[in-house]
Amino acid sequence: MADEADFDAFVVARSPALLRTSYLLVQDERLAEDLLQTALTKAWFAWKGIKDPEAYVRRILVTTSASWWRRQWTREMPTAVLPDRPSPVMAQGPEDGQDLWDAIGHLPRRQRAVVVLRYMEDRSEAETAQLLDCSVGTVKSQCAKALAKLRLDAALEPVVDERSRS
Amino acid sequence: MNAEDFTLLAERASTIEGRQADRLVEVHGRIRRARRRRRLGNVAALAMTLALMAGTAVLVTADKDQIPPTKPTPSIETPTPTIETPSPTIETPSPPVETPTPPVETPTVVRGKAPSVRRLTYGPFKLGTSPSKPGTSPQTIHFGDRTIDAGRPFWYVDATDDGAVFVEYPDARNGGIWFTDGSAPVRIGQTAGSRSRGYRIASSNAGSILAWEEPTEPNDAEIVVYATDQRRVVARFGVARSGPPFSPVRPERIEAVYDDSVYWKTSIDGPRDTLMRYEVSTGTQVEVSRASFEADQRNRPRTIVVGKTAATAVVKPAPRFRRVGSRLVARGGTLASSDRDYDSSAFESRTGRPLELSVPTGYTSAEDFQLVQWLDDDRLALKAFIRGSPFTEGYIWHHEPGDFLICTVSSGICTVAVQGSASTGIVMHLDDSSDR
Repeated sequence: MADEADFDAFVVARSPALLRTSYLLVQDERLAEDLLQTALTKAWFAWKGIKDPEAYVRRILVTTSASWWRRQWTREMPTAVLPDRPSPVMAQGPEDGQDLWDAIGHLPRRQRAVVVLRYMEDRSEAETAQLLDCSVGTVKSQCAKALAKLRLDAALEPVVDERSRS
Repeated sequence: MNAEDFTLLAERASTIEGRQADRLVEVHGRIRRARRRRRLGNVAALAMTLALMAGTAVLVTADKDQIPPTKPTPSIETPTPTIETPSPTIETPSPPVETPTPPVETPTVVRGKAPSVRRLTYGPFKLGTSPSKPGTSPQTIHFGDRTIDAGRPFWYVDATDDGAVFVEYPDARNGGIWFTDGSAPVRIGQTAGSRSRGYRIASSNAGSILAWEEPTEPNDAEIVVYATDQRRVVARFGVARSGPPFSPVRPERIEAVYDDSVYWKTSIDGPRDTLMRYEVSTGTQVEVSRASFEADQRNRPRTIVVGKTAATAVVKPAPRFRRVGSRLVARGGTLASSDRDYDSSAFESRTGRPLELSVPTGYTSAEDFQLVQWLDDDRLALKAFIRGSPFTEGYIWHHEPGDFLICTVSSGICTVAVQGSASTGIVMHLDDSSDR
């Protein structure tokens, strides 16, 4: 029971931070909650043997989001409500961030995870490597590739106002 | 795009609340459901084990009652084939001999043998080293629970029911073929190939027959048929070597090997292939149509077809699978290479029964699998690829590390037989051509 109490305390205390990571990985609030709960459920079954619960759950978040991505990336997602698209003029300024958000969403799963962990979670290369179960060299190369892709992504190209051409 | 942009997005993500209030309750609900599923799974596994044990006991009792105690000794009267002509002798199939015994389509000496059982065979390979360097090539072969010292570096390993066969690291264009039943390896021939194209020996899924193409001078080659149970070459016939002089002999000339026949093509570069069947028991050659070859393939045990339905599925000697949860979904199923990664269904060719395989619950080490060996009529071995998905790259690098799983076709249950390590790859008969 002590284990269960620890687990509950952990969920209450750390789930907001974990939800943020989850949201950054999947970019959808509903999926982020689902991913977090899935990761917490998986962690519960290994709870007694876990030394660093937060790192463990984060790692599950990353690997599970990757497997979800593999399963769902070609699937159409029906929706009753069309997402709001900001107007090109609104999305022009870097202060908006929508374009960068979209461009990150276009990255392959592993590169997206590296960008999230390194630049949004501000983790070191070593920590990122540990969470992704890869070498620091791989983190560096994935980072470089991700940044190169982001620079080339159409979503981040400056929008030219049609009116200014005439 | 700069660091502030990322920070801004991260800060926005912090405002997401999700279902903070209900989360703990919902997580405990999920835990309860997962526990229930696990318990049900354990009960089902126990029930299945008990049912299997009961079934086996009934069968054993029935066998004791019905089968005479002495079994007829299998006759091993292989007529020595006398095929020495430089070009293949094409004979029209002769009408069946009128005998009182029921007609047998392809008489063979091996059908009277005990059921064929094969051991999982592979060689470990140290990753991070170049396979082209002799000093780093493997020298140890795992043959079931035995470890065999090959005595020399090798490039490729395969198996028959009697032992392991391997191609040594070639010092020139051609590689020596060696056979071992666990004792000191014996050189049994030489196969053509190249370091870039690889070296391939065609083997049957069951039994003792091997076939390979052996180069002869100046630009000719012979197809060699070897029986590992008899430790001898049972046939050798000349074929015109394809391609320009000194080009490596193409391993894909041999289409399929069974324990009673070898299918091979007289030409692989011409507009139309002539397909031949060499009969091991009689030593005769017969020209056959592709339709008849495919019909024969489909009627063989240990044959999987992949496609949308059993009727339209095509034969895949080494089908690939993708893990979806714990279920394995077959990939490909058409002859078009562009379709190789489509989800599909696999069936046992002879019965048309769906092949429904599942990895152990909680097994998440790999996403991609490939059939690499049949162990008997009901068990097959899968190679799991633990580093990403080599298939999506359009090729299979057979030195990839990964586990071996053994699956029972009738129950669909797979278990991990050999745990791979991230630093150790494998060498075996899996290569690009296996997926044709």
